[in-house]
Amino acid sequence: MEQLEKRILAVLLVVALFLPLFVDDYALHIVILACFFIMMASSWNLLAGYSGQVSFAHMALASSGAYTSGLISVHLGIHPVLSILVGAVVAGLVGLFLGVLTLRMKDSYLALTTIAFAEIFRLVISLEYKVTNGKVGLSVPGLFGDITSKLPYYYTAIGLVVLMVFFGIYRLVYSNFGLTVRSIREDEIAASAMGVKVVRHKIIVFTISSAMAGVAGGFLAHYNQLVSPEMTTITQMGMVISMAVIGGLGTFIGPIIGGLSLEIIAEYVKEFGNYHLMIFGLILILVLRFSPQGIAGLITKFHNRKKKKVSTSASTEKEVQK
Amino acid sequence: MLEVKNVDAGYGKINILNDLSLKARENNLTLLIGPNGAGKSTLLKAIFGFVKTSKGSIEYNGKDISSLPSHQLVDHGISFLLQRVSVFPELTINENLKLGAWAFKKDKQKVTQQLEAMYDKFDVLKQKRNEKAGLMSGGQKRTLEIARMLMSNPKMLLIDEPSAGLSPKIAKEVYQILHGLKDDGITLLMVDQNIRDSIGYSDYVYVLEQGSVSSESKASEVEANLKEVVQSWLKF
Repeated sequence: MEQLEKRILAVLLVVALFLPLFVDDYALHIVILACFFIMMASSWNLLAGYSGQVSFAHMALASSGAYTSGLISVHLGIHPVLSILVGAVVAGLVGLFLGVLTLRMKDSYLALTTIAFAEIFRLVISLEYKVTNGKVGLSVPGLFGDITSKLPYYYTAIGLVVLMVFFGIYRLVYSNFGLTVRSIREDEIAASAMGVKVVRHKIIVFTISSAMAGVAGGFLAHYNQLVSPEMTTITQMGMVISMAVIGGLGTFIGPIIGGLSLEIIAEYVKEFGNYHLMIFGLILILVLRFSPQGIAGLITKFHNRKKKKVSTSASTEKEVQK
Repeated sequence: MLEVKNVDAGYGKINILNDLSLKARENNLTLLIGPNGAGKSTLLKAIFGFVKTSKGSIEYNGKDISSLPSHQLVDHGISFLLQRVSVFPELTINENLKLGAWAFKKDKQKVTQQLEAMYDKFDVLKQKRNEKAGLMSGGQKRTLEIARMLMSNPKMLLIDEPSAGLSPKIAKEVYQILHGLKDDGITLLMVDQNIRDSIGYSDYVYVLEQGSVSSESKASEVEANLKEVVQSWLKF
């Protein structure tokens, strides 16, 4: 990870630590939702940005974690902390199954198959009333009970979960495994020629990112105390992709910047209803046109330019002094 | 060392190699030449497990390797240099080289030793070790690919068109590097269209036509009759 990324992360961490002291409950609620999207965008970035596998099933996988967690906490009375973990395992297993089926496919075939999976999943949970309560959604117990009085608890909990997810992604990306996965993104055949087991690595990444989505989905379910098919729509998936791409695909801080900024923008433009997606689309086009590596790429570019300017002026000063 | 016996292979229902047999002798550079579509690259892919064989066998040191996947072949000491540029452009030179040692990636000491050996051998890579590979020139990329192959300590190299896209001067340097690898006890099986330049570095030559070996001889004999060999290709 670059020094600049580390510094930005440190600043964000400090801001996050003191945020509850300075903002009202509603702002804290928005930050909690942003944290959910940051986890989703970061885990999708692990898949698409680092290993090059574009999947549209990520929200469906989060939803599978959310429904599993919700259902077992409702029917078996298990505490949500444990049920979220079970949900993550189930989402990982669904991801593993989907990965085994699809990851030998290339680009558009993989994308289309994952779209089909997400739609089938959404239709099944929408039409099923006995177990999932259909389109109305399933009421599930809160992680700490009532939201309004326990908002700081939820904030702390999601903060810890986000940190754990980041730690997992960091360890993965900056390991031999991560290097191998990045080589697969760059050139699958060349990676094979190095002796890399390409499909196995892709499946492992798919499974891990699915489990991470499952954790995020489970947390959201027990925060909202409701899990509905709305989570699985292609619009929600589009949000996650936009966040990762606008923030900077294949960078560590990109999905964090993207998730945070788009969730805040979404709050300001929500009065336009679904038209707010047009605004996201416009931002996406502008970012891809002027900074294909997203906001993170833009920040790095400005930082490098500034660094270069400083070093040039320092050397000029030395020359003058001579 | 490597023996291909009566192999048939191809893509789907289309057969490219027809009852092909040849040998890559130990510590030799064996050159495969022939017109476009003769099956030269397909043969290398078939040896490396990228294309399935439907008949015959491929033996390496007496062991049938025709059904082994590529990662197991790397473990056996076989490496493959692809025809096209195959560096990982967004990764640094150091990271590219590390991937060459994927087979023993957990042995950090061995990886470091191999890295240092490659940097000693190829100074251009040492100077740019932390730069992205995509920023290198064509010749430097080829050098990096060769060094990356050598990271796994191979005993047998399959090389597909090493001079493709390179200037004559750089191509000559690449041939010299490859020829020098024989001194390290490496056996090479190389496909090349650039016969005029590559023949001087080769020991033995097979001419492929329509998926089979049409002739074979010592490189010095082909070199003496180079004009006739090239003219016979033009008939195709």
